[in-house]
Amino acid sequence: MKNLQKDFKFLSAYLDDELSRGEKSRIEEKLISSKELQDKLKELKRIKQLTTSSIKKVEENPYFETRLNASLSFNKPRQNKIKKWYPAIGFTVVAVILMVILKFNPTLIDDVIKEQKTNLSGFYTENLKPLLLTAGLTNEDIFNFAFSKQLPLDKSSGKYLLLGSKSNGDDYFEIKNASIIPNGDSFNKFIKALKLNGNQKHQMDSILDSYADDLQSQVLVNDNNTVAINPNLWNYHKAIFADIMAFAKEANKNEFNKIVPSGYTFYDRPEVVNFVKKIKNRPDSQYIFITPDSIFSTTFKFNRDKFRAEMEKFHKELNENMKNFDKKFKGFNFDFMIDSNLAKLKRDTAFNKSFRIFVDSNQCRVELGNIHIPNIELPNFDSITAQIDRATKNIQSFSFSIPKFEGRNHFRFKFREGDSTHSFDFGIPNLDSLIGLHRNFFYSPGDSTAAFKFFQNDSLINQKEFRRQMQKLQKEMEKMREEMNNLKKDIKKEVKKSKSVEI
Amino acid sequence: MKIKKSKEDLQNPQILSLDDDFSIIKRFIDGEESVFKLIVQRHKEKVRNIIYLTLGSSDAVDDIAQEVFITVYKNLDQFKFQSQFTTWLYRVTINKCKDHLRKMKIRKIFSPIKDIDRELGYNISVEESNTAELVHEAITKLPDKLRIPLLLKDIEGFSYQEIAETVQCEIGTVKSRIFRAREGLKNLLKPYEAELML
Repeated sequence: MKNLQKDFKFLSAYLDDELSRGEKSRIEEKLISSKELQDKLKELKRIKQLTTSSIKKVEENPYFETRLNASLSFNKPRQNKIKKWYPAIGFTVVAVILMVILKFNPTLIDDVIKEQKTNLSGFYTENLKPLLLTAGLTNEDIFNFAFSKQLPLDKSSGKYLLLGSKSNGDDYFEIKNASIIPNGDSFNKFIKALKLNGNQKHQMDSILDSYADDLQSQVLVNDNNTVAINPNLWNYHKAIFADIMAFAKEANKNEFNKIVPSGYTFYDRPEVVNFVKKIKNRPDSQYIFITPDSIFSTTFKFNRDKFRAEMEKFHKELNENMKNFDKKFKGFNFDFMIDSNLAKLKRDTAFNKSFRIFVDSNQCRVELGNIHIPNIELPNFDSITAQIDRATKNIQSFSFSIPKFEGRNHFRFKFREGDSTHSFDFGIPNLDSLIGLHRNFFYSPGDSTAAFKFFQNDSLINQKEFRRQMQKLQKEMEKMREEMNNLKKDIKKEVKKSKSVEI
Repeated sequence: MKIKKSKEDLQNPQILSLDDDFSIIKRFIDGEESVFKLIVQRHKEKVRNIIYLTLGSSDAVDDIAQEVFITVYKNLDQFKFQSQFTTWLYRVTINKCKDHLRKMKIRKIFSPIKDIDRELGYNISVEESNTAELVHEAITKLPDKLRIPLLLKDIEGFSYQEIAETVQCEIGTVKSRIFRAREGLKNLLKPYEAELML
């Protein structure tokens, strides 16, 4: 009986298809032989059928969801309500924590920024090497630096460093491609123009040589694409220029005066020597760093002697190794990559206001608004700087090529005399090139050293005086043009000679 | 797990997949509360039917269904994704029904006998000739622990495994209870054996 009840239970599960394969086969075997089981299965099937058909599903309630939504709006989990406020709570907590921290440690942010700056500057200042050592500076390069403020950074890739000053006195430097740098054998032209003899030429070479070593440590580079420039470089430029000019004046005063317009006064050699000595002895530990991310100024001590010793050792070892391969060490190349970040910095007005950066495909210019360029005291140096600058331009024009002036050869001058205004129109034939050379004189009425002063004091000027000055000007221009033409001819002859010698 | 469906369900199949429920729940937990209405839409009919079958009356179906979904809404962020969502949902539903029935039994103690009988439909009227109503009346007389597994199986088409998870007992117990429910139903309908062709 108990077994039969068990079989009935299995029959119920068999009906629901809930037996395992073994149980199913066993009950099916029993079903075949047992009439009782067959009747029970029939009964269970009928009951299941009655059950299934007896209850209909509950009718849908169209308002169920509406009612539920209304209930849910009153039963929203508290956590979800709080979740909404998580960002606000987070910000508030952070703000309060920061306020508390800053109250007790007000220098925290400054310290962090300082530390980061130190880390950053440490990264960019490591392994700095003097670029000009490997750039292979020649006397020609140093001469060009004195006269045109350009230094080769990497001759193979044609990258040059240019120094400059804006009219408002702000200094700047540029890294340019050689394609836009004026080239020419200016050093030899200068020597020929001064008609220096062999001994004097040798002295000139010695002067330039004496600066090569110092200039090397003024521009440093490393593998992190960093260029470090010492602001003292501006003073070196002045020193070399003054030194050359003082020597030129001493060596051949007559020829020197032909090159340099009248009214220009230069220091005597002892004064310049004293000036140069001050520059050379000045501790130059403040560098301007140009990096792919930023431009900054920081103190950096370059140990020249240590580096020189390392380089000598390195060269020695390298040459020994290279002997086996019959190759020569050519130094390392430097390629300053102008990063697009710099262009971004240029637009960022909040960026360090000490610098203004201008970047295009050919150049990277950095203007040094608030950077202190150490000024070595020299009596009346400020007044002579303007003269040096003009003389530089004059000699530069002379030494290189006569620039083409694309203005008109027709001039109009206006000046006031009492209550009336006088206007003069006059033309100077073939004056274009000369004006190009001497436009500084024309357009510098306030300069006491300029050759013409007709705008300086209106009360002294009258019509006759003006005409007299203009006639004088025309005569001087004619004379200068002749001199220039003669010099051009001489230069051409020299060039032809040198070419024929090379051939 | 494949859910067995009744004939009606098979005629109008609902595509309910594990992944769909899980993805909706994840979105809800991530703060997208509006997806809860999808859960309600997908499961409300099943929940309401289970309540109806469990109580044997449609009077409190919507009230209890509301309670079920509110409970789910409040606790959904604690769902562990270790079993089907429906297993948890139907368990909550059955528990809510049990709570309701418990309350009704307590109320019965303090209520007039006639009212209780009418309310629970315990009286099988001899005059009633409708077979379905007779069987329905008989089913309502079954104890909860027998009636619920029987109806989940025969009406909702749950497997024994699903029933076991929903009512929280062993599969063997489910098997036994369903058999006993059928035996009990047979005995209740004995007076109408001829009409019902038992």
